[in-house]
Amino acid sequence: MKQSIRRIAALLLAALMTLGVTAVMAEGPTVYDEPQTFTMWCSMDKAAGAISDWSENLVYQEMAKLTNVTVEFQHPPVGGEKDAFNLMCASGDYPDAIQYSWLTVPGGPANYISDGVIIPLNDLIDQYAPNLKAYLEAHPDINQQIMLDDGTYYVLPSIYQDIELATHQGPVVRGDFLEKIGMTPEEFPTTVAGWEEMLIKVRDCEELEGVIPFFFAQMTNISESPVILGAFGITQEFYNDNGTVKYGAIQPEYKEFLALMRRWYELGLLDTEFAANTAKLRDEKVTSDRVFAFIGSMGNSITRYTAMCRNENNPDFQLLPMPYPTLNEGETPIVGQQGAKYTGAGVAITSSCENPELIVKFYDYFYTEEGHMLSNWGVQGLTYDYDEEGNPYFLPLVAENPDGLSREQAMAKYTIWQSQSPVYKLKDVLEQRDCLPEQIEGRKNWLACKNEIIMPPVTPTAEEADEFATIMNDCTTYMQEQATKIIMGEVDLDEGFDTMVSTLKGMGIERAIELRQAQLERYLARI
Amino acid sequence: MVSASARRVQIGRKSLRQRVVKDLRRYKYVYLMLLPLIIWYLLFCYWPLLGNVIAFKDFKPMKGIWGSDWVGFKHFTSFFSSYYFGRLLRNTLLISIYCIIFSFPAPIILALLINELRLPRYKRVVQTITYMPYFISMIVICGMLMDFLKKDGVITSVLAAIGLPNENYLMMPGAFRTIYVTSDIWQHCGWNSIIYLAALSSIDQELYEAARIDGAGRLRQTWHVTLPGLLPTIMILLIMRVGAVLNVGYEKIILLYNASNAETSDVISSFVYRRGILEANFSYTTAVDFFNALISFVLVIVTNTVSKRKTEYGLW
Amino acid sequence: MIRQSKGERTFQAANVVLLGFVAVLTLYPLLYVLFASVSDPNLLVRNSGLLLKPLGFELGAYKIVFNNPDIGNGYVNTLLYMSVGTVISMTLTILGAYALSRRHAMFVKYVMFFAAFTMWFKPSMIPFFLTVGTDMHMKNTFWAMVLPRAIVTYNLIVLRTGFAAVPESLEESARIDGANDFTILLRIFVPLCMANIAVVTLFYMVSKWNSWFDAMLFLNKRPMFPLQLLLREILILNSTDSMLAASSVGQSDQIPVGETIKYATIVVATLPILCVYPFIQKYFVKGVMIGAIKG
Repeated sequence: MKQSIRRIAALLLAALMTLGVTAVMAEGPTVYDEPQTFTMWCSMDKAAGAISDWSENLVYQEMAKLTNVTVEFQHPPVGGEKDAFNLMCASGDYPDAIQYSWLTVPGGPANYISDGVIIPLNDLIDQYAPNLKAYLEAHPDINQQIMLDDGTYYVLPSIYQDIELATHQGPVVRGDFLEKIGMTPEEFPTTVAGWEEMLIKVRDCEELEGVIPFFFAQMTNISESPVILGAFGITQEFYNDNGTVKYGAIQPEYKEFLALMRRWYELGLLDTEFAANTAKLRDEKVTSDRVFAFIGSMGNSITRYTAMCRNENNPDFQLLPMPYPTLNEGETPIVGQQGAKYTGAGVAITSSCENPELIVKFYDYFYTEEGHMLSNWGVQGLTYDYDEEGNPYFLPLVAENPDGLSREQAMAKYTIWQSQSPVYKLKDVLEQRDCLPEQIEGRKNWLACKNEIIMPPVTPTAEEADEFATIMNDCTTYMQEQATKIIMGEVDLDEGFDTMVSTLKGMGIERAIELRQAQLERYLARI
Repeated sequence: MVSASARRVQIGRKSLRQRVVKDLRRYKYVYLMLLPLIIWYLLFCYWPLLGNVIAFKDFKPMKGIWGSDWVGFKHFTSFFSSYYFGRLLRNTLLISIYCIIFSFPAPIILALLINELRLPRYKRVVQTITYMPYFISMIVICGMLMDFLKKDGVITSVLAAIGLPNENYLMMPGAFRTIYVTSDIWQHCGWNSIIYLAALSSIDQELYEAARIDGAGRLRQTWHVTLPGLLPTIMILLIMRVGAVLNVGYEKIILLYNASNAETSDVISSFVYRRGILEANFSYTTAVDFFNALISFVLVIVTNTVSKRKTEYGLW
Repeated sequence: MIRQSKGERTFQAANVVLLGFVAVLTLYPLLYVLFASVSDPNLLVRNSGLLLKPLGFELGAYKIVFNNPDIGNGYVNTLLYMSVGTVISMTLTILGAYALSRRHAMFVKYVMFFAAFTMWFKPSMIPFFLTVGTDMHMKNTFWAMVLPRAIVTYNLIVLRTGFAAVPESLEESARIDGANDFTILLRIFVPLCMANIAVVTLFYMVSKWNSWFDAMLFLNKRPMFPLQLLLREILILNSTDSMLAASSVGQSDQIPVGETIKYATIVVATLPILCVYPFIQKYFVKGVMIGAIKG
C-alpha cells in the first residue's frame, strides 16, 4: 500500500515537472552549478570482476548527473584492503573520504580521530545532513551504535533497515534426507535431545550410508553461529549476560557442550574431520550428498548449493534453514547468529579534505526516500520496476544479466546495496536476492531467537586495543586447540576442561573480560 | 726514539695509503662497476633499513617512524614471554632442519640424474616438466594437498592400503613435518635444480676425459669430477640456506594449519602473521624479524667460517 | 669392459624410468590445473580425488577471464615491468657480480659483506614503503615496479660464484693484450658464463613476472596493476570463506564458475612464463668452456 502511494506521488511529481512547474523538492539532492569532485578510497567489494572502477557504478553515474558531483575512486587490491588501509594511514597521504569497515580498524575508530586521520562529523551532520540527523533522532538505537563513547560521530553509516538483514547463518538440513528417515519438516526436533535422536536415525539409516549426520568446519564455525552451543545459553566467546561481560569457553555450560559434542563424536554423529574442514571441503561434501545437517548461510550455502545440485538427477535436493534447538521443549532459543544494524561500514572524512560539506551533503541524499530507491534498486525502468502491488523488483538487467554477470555482481554494478557505502539497506532487496520459497520461510526460523546476550558493537580505546589483541591472540588459538582435543577424546573431559580454564586465566582472559566490560559500560552510557 | 717511532707510523700510514692508491688505480674500473651497486644498496636497502628502529618503538601510523614513542625492548620481551614461544621456536627449527636435510640435497641429486641421461630430447622434457610445479600458486598446491590427504583422499587411500590409518593426515600432528617437507620437494626440487644444471654445464669436459683414461667408472667420475665442480655452488647455497633457518614462510603454514595439527605446524611466521600483520602491529613484526635476522646472521657467520676453512668457498 | 657397459646400461634404464616417474609426479599439479580449468564447474566442486581428465568440457571460464577488462591491461603492464626491470636488473647484477668476483681488489670483500648483510637485515614493510613510496615519491610510478627490487642479492651471489670459476689465466692473457675490465667482462666472462647468466636472467624474469607485493604496496591505480595482482585477487576472492553477509554468494547458476575461473586465470597467467625456460635451456650445453679455452 505504502509503496503504491509513493509511486503515485512520484508519478504526480514527474507529471508536475513535465508541465513546467518547478517543484521545490524537500528531499532532493544538493545540486551544484559548477562541477564538483572529491576523492574517495574504497574497496571494490563485490563489484570486482563486474567493473574495474566504481565510477562505472550506475548509482554514482546517476548522482553525477543529478548533482554535478563526481567521485574519484582509489581502489586497493581485492584481498589486500587491510594492508592497503594501514599503509595509507601510515603514509599521511589521505584522500578526501575513506569508505571502510570502521569497527575493525586496528586500535578502534576513536584512535583515528585523536590521531587526526579523520575528523568528527557532529557539526557537519547538524548543518548539512538534515535527513541523516532526522533519522538518528528518530532511532536512538542506531544513534548509540554509530557514535563513539564520547558522543563523536565519525562516519556516515551504512544501516540495515531491519535486523533481519543481520542474520544470515544458522542450522541447515537436507529436506530430502529428512524424508528418508521418515520425518517431515514439521516434526523437526526443537530440542538438543531430539537432534541427537534424529542424528542417530541418520547414522543408522541404510539409505543414507556414508552421510555425515552433523557437519561443522572447525571451532570457528561455532563462534560464528552458536548452533547447539546456544541451547546452553552461551556463545563461544564474549557475550553480554545482563550487563556483565562473560567469556563462553570458560563457563560451566561450555563444559556441558563439550561433553555433548564428545559423546556425538564417539557415537559417530560428527564429521571425524571436523577440525580440518574448510569451506572447500564443505562445498564438496554437501554437494556430493554426504552431509545431513550443517552450519550454513543463506546465500553462499543454500542458494549456491541448490542452484548446483537441484537438477534432473537430483530433483528433490533441498536445503532447509531450521530453528536453533533448545535444551527444553517449548523454549525460545536463547541465541543465534545475529549482527547489529550498524556493522561499522561507512564513509569517514579525512583531515585532508578541504570541502567536507560537499561530501556530507552528497551522502545525505541516500538517507532520503528517493535516495533509498536509487542506492538500493538503481534506476526505475532500467534496473527495477514496481509490480501490481507496488513492490519493487529487479528487471532482467540485474536479475538475469545479459552480459553473464551473476545477480550478485549485477547488483554490485547497478546498485550499492552490497557495499560498505552509506546506504539505508532495504529488506526487500534481500528477498529479491535470496528468493527460494524455503529461504523466505526458513529465514524466520533463524530469526526466532532471543539474542539478548549478543555483544553490541562496542569500541575500544587505543591503549586497550593493543593489550586486548595481545591477550586474545593466544587465548583464541589455545581455546580452539583444547576444545578440539576434548571433543576428539584426546584428553580427559574434566581434566582437559580444568586445564583449559586455568591456562586461559594464565593467559590473561580475566583482564580481557575486564576490558570488554569497561567497553560495554561506556557503550551503555552513550547518550 | 720518539721521532723514530713516529716515523715508523708515518711510513706504515704512507705505505697503507700507497697501497690503497695503487689498488684504486689498478682496479679503477672494478670500483666504477661497483658504484651503481653501492648506490642502489644505500638507496633501497640501507636507507629504509634505518626505519627498522620501529622495533624499539610503538609505531603509530599517524605519528610516523620518527615521531612514535620509544618503548625499548617491549616487543621483544612480549615475544619471548609469549605462551607459545617455545613451541614456535621448536617447530620452526625442526621444519627448517628437516628441509635442509631432505629438500636441500634433492635438487642436487635430480640435477646429477638428469645430467646422466643420454637421450637429449627426453632430458629436456624431464627438465622442463620438473620445474613447472614451482609456478602453481601456493593456494592451489595446498588445496590439492588438503584434497589428497583427507579421509579417503588419494594419498590417504594409498597409505591405508599399506596398513596406515585411513584418516585425515592434516589432523595428525605427527605427520605435519613430513607433509611439509615432502610437498616442498615436490614443488621446488625441479626449479632448484636449474642452478646446478647450469653449474654442471660449465665443468671442464677434459677432466672427465682424464678420469675415463684413468679407468674411473660413472660413480667415481661423479665423485671425483662432478661433485667438486658443483662444490662452490653447493656451499654458497648451503650457507644461504642455513642463514634462512628461521624463515619458514607463513603462507603454506596458514593454509595447512588447523587446531589439531597446531602442535607441530604453528611457526614463528604464522604466529607473527596473526599477531602482527592482521593486527597491523608493525613494531612487533619488525622486532621478531630483527630477532630472526640476528640468529640467522650468527649462523651464517659460523657456517661461512667453517666452509672457508674446509672448502675455501665462502660468501665473503 | 663388457661388464661395465652392462652395468652402465642398467643404470641408464633405471635412470630413465626413475626420472620418468618424477616427471609424472611433478607434471600432475599442472595437469590438474589445466583439467580443472576446462571442467564443468558443477562437477568440479563435487569432485573428490584425482582428476585424470576434465570433468565435462567447458570453456566458459576462459571466456570470462578474457572478457575481464583488467586482464589484458595487466598483461601489458606485467610485460613492461618484466622486460624493463630485467634489463635494469641484469645490467646492475652483471657489473656488480663481475666486480665482486675480483677478489684481489682490496675493498671488494667489504662491499660483498655490505651487500650480503641485507639478506638478513631487511627493511620491514612500513619503513620500506615510507622511504621508497613517500620520501622518494615513487608511489604510483612505473619506477616503483622496477627499481626497488632491481638487485636480488641471492642472484648477485650466484652469478659471482659463476664468474669466480673462470680461470685466471684467461683474464691475464687478455690484460697483457691491453684489455680493460669492461672489455674482459664483455669478451671473456659473459660468453663463458652464458649458462649462469641465463639462469640469473630466468630468476629475475620469473620473480618479476610473479611479483605482486610491491604493486600492492605502491600502486593504487587499477590500470597500473600487474597480472599477478589481479590473479591474486581472483584466488583470494575464491578462497575466502564467505561467512559475512556482505560476501555471501548470491543467486544464479553461474556462481560456481568461480572455481574454474580460478584455474583458468592461473593457466592464462602462467603459460607465457613457462615458455621461457626452453629458451634458457639451450645455454646449458656442455663444453662451452672448453671451446673458449682452446679457441
